[in-house]
Amino acid sequence: MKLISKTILYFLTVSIPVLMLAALISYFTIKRTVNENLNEVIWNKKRKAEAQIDLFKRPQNFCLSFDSMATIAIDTTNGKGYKYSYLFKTDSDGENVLYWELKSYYKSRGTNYLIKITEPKFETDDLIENLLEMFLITFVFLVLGFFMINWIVSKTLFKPFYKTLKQVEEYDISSNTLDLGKTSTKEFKQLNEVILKMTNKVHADFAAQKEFTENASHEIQTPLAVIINKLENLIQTEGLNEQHFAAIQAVYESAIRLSKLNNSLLLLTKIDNSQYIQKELVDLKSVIEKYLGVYEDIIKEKGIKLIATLNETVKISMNPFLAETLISNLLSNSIKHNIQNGEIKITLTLKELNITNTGSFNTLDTSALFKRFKKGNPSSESLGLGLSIIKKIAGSNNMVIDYKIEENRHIISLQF
Amino acid sequence: MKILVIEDEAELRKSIKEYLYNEGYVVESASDFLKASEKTSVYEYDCVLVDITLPHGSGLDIIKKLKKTNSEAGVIIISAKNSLDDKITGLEYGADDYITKPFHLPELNARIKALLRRKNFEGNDDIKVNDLTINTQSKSVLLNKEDLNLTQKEFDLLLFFVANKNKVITKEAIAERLWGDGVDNMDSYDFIYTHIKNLRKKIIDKKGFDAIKTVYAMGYKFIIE
Repeated sequence: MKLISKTILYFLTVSIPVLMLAALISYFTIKRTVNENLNEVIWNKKRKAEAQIDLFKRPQNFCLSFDSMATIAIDTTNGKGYKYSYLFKTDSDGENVLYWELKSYYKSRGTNYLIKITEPKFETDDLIENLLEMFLITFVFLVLGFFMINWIVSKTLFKPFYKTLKQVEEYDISSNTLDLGKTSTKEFKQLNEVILKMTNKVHADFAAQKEFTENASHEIQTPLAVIINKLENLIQTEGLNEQHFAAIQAVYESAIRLSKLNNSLLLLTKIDNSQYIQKELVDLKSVIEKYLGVYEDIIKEKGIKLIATLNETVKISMNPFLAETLISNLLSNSIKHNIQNGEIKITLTLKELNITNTGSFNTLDTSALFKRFKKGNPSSESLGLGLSIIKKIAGSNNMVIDYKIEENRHIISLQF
Repeated sequence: MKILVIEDEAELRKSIKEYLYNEGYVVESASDFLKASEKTSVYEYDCVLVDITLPHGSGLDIIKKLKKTNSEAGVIIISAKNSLDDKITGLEYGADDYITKPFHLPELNARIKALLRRKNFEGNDDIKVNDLTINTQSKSVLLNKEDLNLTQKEFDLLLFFVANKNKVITKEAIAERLWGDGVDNMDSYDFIYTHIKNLRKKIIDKKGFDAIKTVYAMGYKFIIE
């Protein structure tokens, strides 16, 4: 919910009950005042009537007004005191009008009189209606005013805040460019300072980590290069026998494996560190075709039947290097874990890439397969990092990866 | 042919020097930026191998200097960083090639040869070895005046062998030469065998000298008659 909507919501939740309470209080206050006034008027008239009675020379009935709203009558019931009551009368328009009537007894010179004073009563319905109307109008104006204030506030007062928000949203950790602008508001100034401090720290950490992983890799690759190249010179020596060659080959192979392992781990770390964030529209079909070309001989050598159905225009926004790594790993997996004279089926559609291949093993814990160093075949020479690289790349590009085995076939699918 | 090896790691420098020396090159070396800039400013080289990260400076600056003085030397970057950005930057600075550590010495040698060939012979580049005549432009191989009809892979393989003649070349180096990074993911290099077998067969069928010998466990060797 937007900040503005939220403030309006809070405003409404507070202002509606407050206005209602105000209306209620006003209603009762006005009602009481009006009733007090009415009673006063009636009481005055009653006092006047009593003064009139005191002037009577003999007992008589008397009309105080032309419309017989106030009358004096001789009472024979010997009543005492006074009593108020409601009364409905039909007026000239045929409408029932509410009246407030005072019946009061008064004794003068041995005669008991009944004084009746009737006054039209202010109607409560009308009062409520009027009040409601008044408060509704007030409310509408309040809300309108509030919207206006909010609009002005967000356009001016909150402008630096929204600018900061946009900048932070577009923040790129590798370039660390953040133009937060100037503001005279203390809180926003503070916010910008904190954000700037944070991003600078994050950027510095990121750069340090990047440098560390690259330096570490550099430091490891150099001695490996020494081992590999020394051996490549050593094998040129005359007079080496088979035993020598076997030993050298073992060292040589291990050094190369170590180097590949180092490269793979570096790749995983780099993806984790978002160092491959530069994206381009990658034509997946051409990447697949490129690597099918690279593996052509190996596929032929294994006698594998290849069925590739590649949709023409599947363009995916991702880092081109990662796209190539993803495809080469997927394809090499399907070849490596295949059987002699097996089959690979590659289907590329706009929604997914599906690679189905005959496999050399049929029972596999698929959930553990994506973990690092987990190998389908423990005796194999592979590093066990291929699938975790695939998973990492897929994950960092919001692709859904699924792996299953059905009828001796390994099916790996990537949904874009 | 004179080659300068600029590399701070002493043992690596020695290995490269040894391999190239046996190939018949005059090889000099420099261990840091200052020595390297001194040598490049005084002497002319046909080829300079340069590491990017050097003590006292960057290899890229040496390339820049070489290009500024219109040096004829071919430049190959030797880098520990296998990053596309570095590769692009290096080539923009005017380097001719880029090789990532760890590399195979036969690979480095083949690249130097290809670079020197490009620089020195512009077009007329027949390589004669044993009874074979290889034309790198038309990618054709003549044996006793007959075309050998090699596939692309077989041609590349032969060229790699010829560049490293009389040297033991490992299966791994061959695989990487012919298939690039793609083979990094493969477990075995058995598929190389088929190509070598086919190449040998084509040469033998045309009554050529069978120069490719198997070296136990390690790889192969192309011998000169």
